[in-house]
Amino acid sequence: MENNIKKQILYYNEHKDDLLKQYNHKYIVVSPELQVSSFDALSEGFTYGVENYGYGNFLLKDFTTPTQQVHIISPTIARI
Amino acid sequence: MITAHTKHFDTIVRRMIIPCEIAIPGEENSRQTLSALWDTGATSTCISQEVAETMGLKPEDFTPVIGMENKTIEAPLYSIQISMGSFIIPYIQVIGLPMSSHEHNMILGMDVMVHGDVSITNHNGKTTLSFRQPSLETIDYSKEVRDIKRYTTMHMAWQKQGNQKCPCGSGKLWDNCHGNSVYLPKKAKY
Ligand SMILES: [Zn+2]
Repeated sequence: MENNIKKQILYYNEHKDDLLKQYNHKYIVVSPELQVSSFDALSEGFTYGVENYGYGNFLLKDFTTPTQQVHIISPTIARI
Repeated sequence: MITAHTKHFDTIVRRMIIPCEIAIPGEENSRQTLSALWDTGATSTCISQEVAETMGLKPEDFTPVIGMENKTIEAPLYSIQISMGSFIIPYIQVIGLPMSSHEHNMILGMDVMVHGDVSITNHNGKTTLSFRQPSLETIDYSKEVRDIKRYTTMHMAWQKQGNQKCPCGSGKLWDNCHGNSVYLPKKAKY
């Protein structure tokens, strides 16, 4: 899938532990120039990202929920 | 502000699929109506990747998703607005996933349900899904059953004693005390 945030994801993966330590319970926005800003709410981070870097050009990471990394999707079971 | 939405199904249903509007926050033109399956087994809300691409949603993060057969895939995350009737979540990150169902192109997960209270009732052979935000009270059917038993016992004692006083010992009249309960049918008071 096409995306403009490959550089930001790479940066995030390299600095994951430090970022998580520094911005625990926050949302962070990583800009195309790899600047990091933190926010208390998703709405603030999203609005800031769109206004400053344009829609689709920033990484928006949620550090507010500890279980954020894993999602279980239950199967739909149909009896035929 | 309290908001709520209710879906009355015509029959008992085992899958609750209801219309759900989504949009890119601040972009009214992107608004679309999806068919959303309510799924307590999903920790996060998902939309069909096909829909995401048609709407022009752009990923702002990626997350590992464990799906069927314990397969893990890296899926994109999108910030969207969700609305069902007056029930609105202005900002929520949802996952884009390939979906093969013809009946739904969205899965509403627990991340939406925890915004308030959700009930599923099946009275008179019809499923009703109702939800509101914020949460207003704890619904406890076990407590209801205990209360009904307590009031029924009290009612029997009142009938037996043959006067207008409440048998609980409060000194009040039955009608102004335990007789004045939603758990007792109106006619039972007389
Ligand atoms: Zn009483």
